[in-house]
Amino acid sequence: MINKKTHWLKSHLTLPLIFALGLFFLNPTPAYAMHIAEGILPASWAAIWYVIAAIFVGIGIFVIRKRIKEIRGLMPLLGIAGALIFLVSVFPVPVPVSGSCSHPCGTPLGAILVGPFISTVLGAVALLIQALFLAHGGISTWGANIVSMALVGSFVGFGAFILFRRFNAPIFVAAFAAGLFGDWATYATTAFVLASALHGTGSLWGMFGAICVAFAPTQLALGILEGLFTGGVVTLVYQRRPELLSRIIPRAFKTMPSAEKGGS
Amino acid sequence: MKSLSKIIATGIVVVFVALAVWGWLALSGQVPEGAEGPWGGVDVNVIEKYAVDAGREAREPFINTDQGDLLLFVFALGGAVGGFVGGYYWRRLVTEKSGKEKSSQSG
Repeated sequence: MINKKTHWLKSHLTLPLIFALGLFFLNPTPAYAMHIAEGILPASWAAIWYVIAAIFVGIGIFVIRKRIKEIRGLMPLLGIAGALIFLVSVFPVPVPVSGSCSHPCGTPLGAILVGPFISTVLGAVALLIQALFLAHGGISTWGANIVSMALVGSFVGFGAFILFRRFNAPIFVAAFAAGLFGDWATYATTAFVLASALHGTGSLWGMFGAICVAFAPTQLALGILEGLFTGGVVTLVYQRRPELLSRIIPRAFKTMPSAEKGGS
Repeated sequence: MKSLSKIIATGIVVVFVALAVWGWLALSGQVPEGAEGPWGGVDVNVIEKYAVDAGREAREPFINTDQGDLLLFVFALGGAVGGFVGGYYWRRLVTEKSGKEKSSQSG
């Protein structure tokens, strides 16, 4: 009886507690990274990014409604993907040698778990909460931040994963590539968003290059970390519940005969 | 053929990682020192630096929680709620067995 109770407590409380304690101790200050703060973009540019973001978020909401009816048990996956994107995208990581801090995006992982359109919506929600309550990002720059982190991070990560799986790359390698390229593409887009709005009479591509070089010492290393994280989580989910992943992108998991045995 | 494409795909990733490590070390002196100094976030040291140079400064957020310990409270609360949601669903998705699996094991 006692053993049963102990087992129940272990199975129900250990992981949530580790998550929560880890967050309390490892995450005591806000992260500062790709989020463009309130007021940095002129209104006209902010509006353009809002329109682009709205199109994809709208499609994403439509896809969520459709998928929820089709796929039983999608809600828990949306819950965990949303929580992961929220947490990962405010998690400050100090980068040795460079001496600066930044954060991963989480959207490449979200895109592999739930698809790129749904991941865009989850990223948008995470960015809204961060802008409203964590002084991180901004309401006027929400559209631009959605485009760089939620939209580009999701689609580039998803595209890289599919591409590498087509070339028969192992699950970990393909997911690693998704994290790596999704992260870099997010920061390159942030550089483009800034350069396009702020280059003035100077060269757009000159400013874009300068911002990319300024991001590079931090983000090149962080992209590798995001790749390792994405590869690790996708491999773990694939080994434990391959059917979760194959429902979203069946083609990418079709050529895995060892899946049922838990290998890749 | 399959194993060759697997090797090529893995090799491409390895080359990108090697280039990234080289770029990270080679460019480490290029990190602009912004208002936050060492270990500052790139949004202040890079984004806000370029914005200020272009004549645009960041405004105060609409809801400014960056006062005293308020931000720490909101951040920890958000982290805890997010952590519990993540942990709960992780358990349901990864560690908990479905009814079908349970019945096939017992039967």
